[in-house]
Amino acid sequence: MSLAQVVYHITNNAEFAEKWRNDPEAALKDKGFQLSREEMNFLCAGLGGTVQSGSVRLSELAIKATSWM
Amino acid sequence: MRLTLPHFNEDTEVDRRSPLRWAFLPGLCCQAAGGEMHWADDLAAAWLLYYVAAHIMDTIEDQDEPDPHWSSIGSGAALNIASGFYFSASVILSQSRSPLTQSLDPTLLSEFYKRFLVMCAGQHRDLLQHDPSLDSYWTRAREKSGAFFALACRLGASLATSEPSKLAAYQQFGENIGIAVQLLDDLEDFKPLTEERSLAYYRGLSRSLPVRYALAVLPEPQCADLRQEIERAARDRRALQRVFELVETSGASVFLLLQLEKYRQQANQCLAEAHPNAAPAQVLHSLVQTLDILSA
Repeated sequence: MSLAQVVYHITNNAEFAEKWRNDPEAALKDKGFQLSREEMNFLCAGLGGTVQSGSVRLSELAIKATSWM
Repeated sequence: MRLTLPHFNEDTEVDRRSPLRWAFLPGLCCQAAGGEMHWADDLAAAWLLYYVAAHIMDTIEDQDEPDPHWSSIGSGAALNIASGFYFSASVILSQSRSPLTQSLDPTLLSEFYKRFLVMCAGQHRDLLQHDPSLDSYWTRAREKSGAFFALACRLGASLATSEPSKLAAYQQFGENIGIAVQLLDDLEDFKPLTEERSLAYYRGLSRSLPVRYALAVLPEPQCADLRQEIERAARDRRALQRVFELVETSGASVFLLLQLEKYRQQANQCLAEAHPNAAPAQVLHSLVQTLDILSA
């Protein structure tokens, strides 16, 4: 649940997003969020890579996705 | 019905859009664990039949838009075909002439059917639970798609090895793929609204990960708004559009991509822990790579 909250704040709270970019651990502490080390590393890597906030829409992903059939 | 499964080698390129690509998991896991791909032909054929049957039933139970290949015959006839696929798969498993399949520990085949009971229970809860939490979403994804793909990989590998640690690694490998496949399946509900696509197409939307995530993180006024629009979306295109907007503004696409990447990475880690043979491992990694929709 915390991971979901952090993603929400990164994508919807400019002040938190700025803090996160500069010092992720301090940003989490300020908000009282807790992430495991694994989640933290994963989130930093993911948001630093191809996953950027607001850079892709669900409808665009849906067109690319093929799952069952 | 004749089902032909080609054999892979290290030069094989996986067709990322082929719906059949996941049916190679049992054979590839068998090969990766030290066996031959064809040892798993019967298992792969049975698994594929279960896979297609489960998809048809899932579509009907969720009241999703029918697939083109059965839309003209109606859901009753499609349900009958799905039942036929289930029985055909059971016949394949019980009458397999493959000495290897015959030599499988009987408890493993019993596990095959028990897994289906777990999947049925997951689907049942999914259908009855009107407003599941984000946590229960993950439980259902594990029970349904995760368990099904875990079975394909564990049983395939079990034809070549009985080492518990390797079997556990293949099982986890499959479970991670299955959960990622469920996430891609959920994305189907976010295909753009067009004149050709009816509102019925979006019936499963409220159980998808993006909606469950949005309802877990949005502030209460927006949550209430989202719930109200979901109720209206079945008969009002503007309400559906509003659902899309609310979910989009919650950061759901980022959350879904992160989760997809997490399960993709975990699948690769589990495969490494199984110490697979290099050539089939390469093909398995390229199958996992097809889950990366950003590079599609």
